[in-house]
Amino acid sequence: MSVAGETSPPMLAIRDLQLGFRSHRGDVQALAGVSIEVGEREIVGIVGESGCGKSITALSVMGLLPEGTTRVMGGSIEFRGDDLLTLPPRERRQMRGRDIAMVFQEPMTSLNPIMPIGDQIAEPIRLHLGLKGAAVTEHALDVLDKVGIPRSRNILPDYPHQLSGGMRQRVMIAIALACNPSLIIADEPTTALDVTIQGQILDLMVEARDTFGTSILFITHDLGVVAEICDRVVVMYAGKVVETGRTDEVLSSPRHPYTQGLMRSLPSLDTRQERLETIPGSVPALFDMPRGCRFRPRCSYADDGCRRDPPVEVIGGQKVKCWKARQISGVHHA
Amino acid sequence: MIFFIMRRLITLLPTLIVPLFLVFTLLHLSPGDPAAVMLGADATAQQVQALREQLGLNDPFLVQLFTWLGRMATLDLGDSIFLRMPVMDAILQRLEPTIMLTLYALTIAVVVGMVSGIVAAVNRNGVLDQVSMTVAMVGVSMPEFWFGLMLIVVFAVEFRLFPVAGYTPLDQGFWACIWSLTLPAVSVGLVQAGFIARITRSSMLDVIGEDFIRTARAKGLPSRVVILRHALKNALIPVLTVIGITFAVLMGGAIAIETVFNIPGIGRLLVNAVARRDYPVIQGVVLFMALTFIFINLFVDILYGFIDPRVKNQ
Ligand SMILES: Nc1ncnc2c1ncn2[C@@H]1O[C@H](COP(=O)(O)OP(=O)(O)OP(=O)(O)O)[C@@H](O)[C@H]1O
Ligand SMILES: [Mg+2]
Repeated sequence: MSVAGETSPPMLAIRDLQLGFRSHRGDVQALAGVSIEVGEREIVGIVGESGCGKSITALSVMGLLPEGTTRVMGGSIEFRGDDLLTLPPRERRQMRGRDIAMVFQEPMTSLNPIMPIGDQIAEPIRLHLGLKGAAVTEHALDVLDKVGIPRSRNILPDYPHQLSGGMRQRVMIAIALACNPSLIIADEPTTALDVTIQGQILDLMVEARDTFGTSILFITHDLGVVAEICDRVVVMYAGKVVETGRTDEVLSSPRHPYTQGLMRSLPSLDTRQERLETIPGSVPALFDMPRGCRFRPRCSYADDGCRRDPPVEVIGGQKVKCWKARQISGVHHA
Repeated sequence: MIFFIMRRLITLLPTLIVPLFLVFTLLHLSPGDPAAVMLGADATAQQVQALREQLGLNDPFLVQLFTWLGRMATLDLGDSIFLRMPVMDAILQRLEPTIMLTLYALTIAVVVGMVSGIVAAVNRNGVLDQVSMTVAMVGVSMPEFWFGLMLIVVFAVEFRLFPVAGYTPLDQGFWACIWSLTLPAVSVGLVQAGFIARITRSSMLDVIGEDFIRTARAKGLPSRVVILRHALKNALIPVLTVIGITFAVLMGGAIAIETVFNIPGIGRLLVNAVARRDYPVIQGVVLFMALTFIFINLFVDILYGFIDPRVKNQ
């Protein structure tokens, strides 16, 4: 896969997004300048520890963050050239499901328990494609067929509790694909599923890109999944992007100490390791962020220079937000 | 669905036994000889003996119980001592005003309660939320008869918009009947609306936080559709339970409110029967109310099955 983002204008460009929450401890900043690009037909992965801001990044693209407690404090989210953040609410709403769709982590709770599957798939089809009557059913059966639920197994009258987790996630993907969106955001769509089903769902996502040209922003904390399906990867830490680049480059030669730590904590099949390494320390709380580089307290390379906000170093195809990037880039970690 | 309803009907049988037994023992738990109590102080010994015979009080307890249950099975509630007519007829005669009042009040309670509960939930912590929840709070802590009296003073005495009391039967026209019941229905209905508003709000807030609501919004549905089609229907189950209870409370509340507004319904029948110690009527009315309560609960249970497909398979 070529790096599409560099040749054609990107499908999605999140630029320096800053997001705050109002909480009882006062306002906290949960995203401190996040920039992510997704090109046409590209699958981009976002990885990072729990709480680093992956889901809220996705939800701000969708415009689904809780109103009232959330505040965008800066940056822009451009989708095919339009800034979503300045779009009127009605237009923004109509883009959901039609241009940008989302698949969530929990297939068990993400479907309405008291509405037949058919009605749930039919909703976006009626709303965005303007189809009526039998055409809606036809289209719904078509989409289900594409996600591996054959027409012969008509599940339209069934309720969610009658389906397995894997089937429900297929239904969720069918709902996302129903209006042929340009971008699908998948927030850990396989985390709640067992391994064999996981593989099938990943295959489905890749197939959607290959046959419909859908761009995909894929959130996970599993580097194995990233290696399998993503063209590019974005590594996030504590509300910031610390490293981006082509998947093969980042995974074969990680430049940021945090990415290196993530790689070392990954079980590998070919080398027998005594025990997995973990990154020492824990993720800082939102209201207690270290100044300068946020990874500094956990980083073995850190020195006093790291108390200043690190620059973004461009090394080959990789962008690394670290003072030591050039110094340590030669270090090879197996 | 048929099986579901059948199962519910069968599990209902034990709940029927309990009120039947309680109502029967009502007569025997009262202090003294019920026959003597009913006839009053200046009855002769012969009169008392005759009434004991009529009521079957001279038979052994179990014989009395089964005779009574047998009569109940054929819907024979016995005769009123005072009204000189079968209890069943007395109840049927007074049924219309009570049913009309209860349904009217229930409509007010459900419409006002659910609408303000939904509005409050959607505008959580906003001005509308605070206003409607404060009003609901005041509503539920207000005695219905007092509220009824206030309504009479303001709308009947001051503004002369509604009659002070009394009931216009249905056969004199539906709207005339409704008009005559407006003040009593509002006084009990609005108080119950407070309960329904609070449960609707909290149930809606629970559902709005669920994942599938986020899915519905991710489809691009307008928020009106998300709220009404996805959230409300899911929030309905606890609300329905409260509506079922409200129905029963409204029937009970009819006793006080029919007296305040002088409406010739079941409640007045009961109050008068108690005043005259007319035991067969008391038994009949209490039994009638208990059965109505049980059947409303059955109806609510069956409605759950229609709303939530998971209930049927349990
Ligand atoms: N509604 C909210 N109010 C306040 N803080 C929030 C809210 N939603 C998320 N946060 C905070 O924002 C940060 C990022 O949360 P987010 O859900 O994006 O994490 P994540 O990277 O998706 O983690 P995970 O891997 O566990 O899904 C967390 O510290 C979280 O506590
Ligand atoms: Mg998340």
